[in-house]
Amino acid sequence: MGPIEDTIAALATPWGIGGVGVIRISGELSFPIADRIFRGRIVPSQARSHTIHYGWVVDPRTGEEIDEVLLFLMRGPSTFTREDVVEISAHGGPFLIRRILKLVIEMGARPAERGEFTFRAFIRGRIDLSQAEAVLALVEAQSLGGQRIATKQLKGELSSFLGELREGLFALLVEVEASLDFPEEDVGEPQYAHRLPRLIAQLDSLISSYRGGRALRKGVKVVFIGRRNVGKSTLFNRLLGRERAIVTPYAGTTRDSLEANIERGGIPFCLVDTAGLGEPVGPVEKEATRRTLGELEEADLILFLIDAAQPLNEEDYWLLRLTQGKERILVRNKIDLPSKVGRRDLPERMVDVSARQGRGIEELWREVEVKLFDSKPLDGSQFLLSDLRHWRTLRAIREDLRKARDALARRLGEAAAVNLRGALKRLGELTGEETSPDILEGIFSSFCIGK
Amino acid sequence: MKREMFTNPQIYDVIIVGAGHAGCEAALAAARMGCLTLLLTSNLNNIALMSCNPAIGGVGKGQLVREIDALGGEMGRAIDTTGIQFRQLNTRKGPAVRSSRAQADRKAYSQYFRKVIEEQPNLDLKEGLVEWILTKRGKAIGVRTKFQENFRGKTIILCPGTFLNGLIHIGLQSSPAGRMGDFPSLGLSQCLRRLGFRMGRFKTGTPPRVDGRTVDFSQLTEQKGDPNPLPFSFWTKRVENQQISCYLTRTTPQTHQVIRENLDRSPLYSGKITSKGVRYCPSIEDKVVKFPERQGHQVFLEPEGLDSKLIYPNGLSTSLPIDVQYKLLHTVPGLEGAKIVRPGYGIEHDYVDPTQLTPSLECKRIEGLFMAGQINGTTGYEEAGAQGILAGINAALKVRGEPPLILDRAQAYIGVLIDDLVTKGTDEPYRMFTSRVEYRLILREDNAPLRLSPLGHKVGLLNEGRWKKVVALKKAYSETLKKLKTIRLFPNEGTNRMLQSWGLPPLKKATSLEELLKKPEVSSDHLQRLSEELKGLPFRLLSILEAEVKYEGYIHRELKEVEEFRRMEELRIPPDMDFDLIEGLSTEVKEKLSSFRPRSLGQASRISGITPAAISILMVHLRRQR
Repeated sequence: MGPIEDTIAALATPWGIGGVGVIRISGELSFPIADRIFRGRIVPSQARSHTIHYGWVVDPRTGEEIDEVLLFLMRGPSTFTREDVVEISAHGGPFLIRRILKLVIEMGARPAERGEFTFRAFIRGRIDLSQAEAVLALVEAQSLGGQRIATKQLKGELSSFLGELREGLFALLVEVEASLDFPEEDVGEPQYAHRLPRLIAQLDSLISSYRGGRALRKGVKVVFIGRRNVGKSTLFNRLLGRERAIVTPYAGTTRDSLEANIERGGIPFCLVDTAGLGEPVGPVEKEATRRTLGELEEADLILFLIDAAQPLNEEDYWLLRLTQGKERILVRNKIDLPSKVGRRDLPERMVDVSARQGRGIEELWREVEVKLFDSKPLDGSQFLLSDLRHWRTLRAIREDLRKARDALARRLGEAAAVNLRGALKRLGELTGEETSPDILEGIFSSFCIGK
Repeated sequence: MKREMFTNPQIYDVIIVGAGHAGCEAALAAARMGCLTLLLTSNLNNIALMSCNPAIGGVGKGQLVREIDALGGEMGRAIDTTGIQFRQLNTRKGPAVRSSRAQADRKAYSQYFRKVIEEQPNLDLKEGLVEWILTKRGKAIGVRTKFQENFRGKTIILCPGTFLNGLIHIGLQSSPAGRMGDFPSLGLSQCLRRLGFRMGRFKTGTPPRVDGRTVDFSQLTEQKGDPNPLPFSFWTKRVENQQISCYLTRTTPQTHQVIRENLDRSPLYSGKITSKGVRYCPSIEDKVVKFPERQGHQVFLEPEGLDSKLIYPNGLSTSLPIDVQYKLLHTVPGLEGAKIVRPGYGIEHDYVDPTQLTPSLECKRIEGLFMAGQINGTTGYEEAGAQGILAGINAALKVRGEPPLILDRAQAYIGVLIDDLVTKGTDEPYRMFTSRVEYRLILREDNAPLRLSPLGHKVGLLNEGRWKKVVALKKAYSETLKKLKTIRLFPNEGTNRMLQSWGLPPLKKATSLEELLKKPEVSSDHLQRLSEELKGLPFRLLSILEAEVKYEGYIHRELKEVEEFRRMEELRIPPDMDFDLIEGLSTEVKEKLSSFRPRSLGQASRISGITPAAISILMVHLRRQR
């Protein structure tokens, strides 16, 4: 990040097709800049805070009118960054918006770096670290569901869970420390130790919701695989609800991976149709196979199609091995035809569909949701962990707590304390808050100490 | 009328005011470092007197004593010579919180220090109650006693303890005193205020002393010391003194009843004393009021010495009137017929807000003036001694024109103690605890010589003879560690039988001694019996190895944290930094930083009220300046 004293400016809405764009300016110079480039009924620096004004952006050097705008004036500290903020809502299209931004920068602002507004909000104490990350998530969120999680996190739902966790751990640490520092007093064994297993279980469920949370934000990649002519493209079109892929009765019609996006239950899905796998006959098939294998690496979920009308062959077995241990669903397609593949022929449950007739499609969707989200409803209404950093840190905290639990079982107060302190420190890193609450304060408010 | 005044012709390098636990360590350190040193005390008979409980060490405090010892201080050897009951605390909870504690023979301890000080070259001991600090252009140049004797010095270390405007309370009566039987220092406090120091007032107290012949020990629990007393000092071979027992009793509901009925006669609860007391060493009336549900509180009956009949009833600190003290004592089992020899009392004294000091314990306001001990808001002999030795070292270094010795939080308990005081200040009498220490796995009692003796040697405090023993320890340590890694035990019958006889699982494959020692059930004792090569190694060496091997993972983790901590400490803030020019800081934060002048970003981050956000801004600013 650049110097915090600078006034920064950036487009606050995505660059893109829509005609309206908002340019945000934050810092000391935001009002003086507005004074110079805005022509309306008021002078921005003399207008009341938190008001909106209609007018024109004018290049003060040439007098040229650039665009018709609405000007939002907000004086710090009641702003997102706690600094003076001016927003210019322009609607002249990308070209004019770029010209306004350029003008603002020529007048003394510096282009904001990515996330810099949020960084300032954090630095000025307006939001804590986990809220700061949620803002970034909100900006990135690709779907309705993703936005709902981001908003919840913003309101501090993660923060409040972490707060509870912290309180529990702190109470336990106080007991452990008291028994270490006052071995001659009537302190006794830690009473809060029995809470640890429950805290660990809560962490478990939070950590396991990570995948679902990430899906809500970034979208789920579902890759179709199977040997040639098993009906991947037909099923692909069926799930999309439109004829996206070319379907012919000939094996190997799909030569290249094909992606399409669809939203379901508020979750963005990226469906990927692939070229069928089989003995490569030429350079094109070879390349297609390579690409399909590449898609497999990135898949969140694999739909592995099997032709019900054909007995399993070597290629099926090879693919089974290849996808072993990955998140996959076995789909038995073409159940409208006489079946040559029995349930016992495969290691796990299959979902029966007929892509051609549209049978079993709802069941397949349900199975997809179960696989991805552990059957939890997908509307983002419950807490889901959606950030990789949170996930990693929470796993480390869980590890600390397991060690603390084991140390307590062996009455090694010191090792328990090290791990509890470690967990509390990590928690502090997550929320960006002060990490060292007064342990002694805790001890003296709970125990009668003093020989 | 013109006052008669005498100015001593000698100009001392270092003058120490007060010969308590801080003053004695300071004086010895300065003199041993070659400075011409004067130690002034108000009473020559009360050198290093234990005004309160007759004990040294305890959890957290034991670590301080070992550190004082490792630097070249006297406290460890003093207690080794005069201790009458030694105990290791927390032996099973882990190596870092393992601490030493010993009961002292109060009189012998004081005599020991008197003798060491009298025999110390470069050190003058004189009687004189200091009432004034002489300054010139913001620098300390000497002191003046109550009877108008002036002493000139290049540096002054103030260690007046509870004498600083001391006021004793028994019931609703009060009397100015340094402690029971000694004059207070009233002028010194006034002088400090006039010099512009922010001062506060603390309260502490002590229990009645009881005639041991009137105590019935027969019904009490005996508490013996350790069968093999472990000395504090690295250089003490063994404890020679006769060892005796303490006894344990408890207050009863009747005791609490007596106290509750007489609270209106307590200076604490009648509103007479308003200053803040010690939470972890509360009076018995405090404990009864704050924890009304408790049916009893522990009382340790501690002997005051081998040739003394006095008993110190630890846990019964009180400032209630004497008749109430008798009544409450008589409700405690074993003390039914106890006679009081000296009543318990509360004492209030002034202290100087220690955030006015630099980490070398020198005043920011007056050059050459150092402060150590209770004057800085601490309580405890060990806390005082720890500050004393550092103040002594730093005064001597200043006289030599060398940079000060500053221990950081990752180096020593002393570092934590001083950093807490000068950075955070204290709103109650400060006592050391292990829980105040972030890196306690690496700051253990056992490795104090390895951590601090090199520093003590470097500044010239630790003599060559002692230093050689530390060098030998270092060498033996690395050699033995190598042995632990290379010597392997094989799963033969003899070995496995031995392991099983100790309740340990048998070996399945060849195992190095190091791997074996990592197992929680295995001690270095076991290893010594398993391997010829380890026989006869000193306990001190083995306990370091045991801690380092068993806790290797944790220690490694802690060392990484220390690296992070040091990065922040090394981000120095220029002494002339203008905080007002930093944008984004609130006015309050700017004012705090300007008045405080932290020396590093790390120290700034520990000042109360300085938010992480303010630190980020400061960091950005420091980077830009470079």
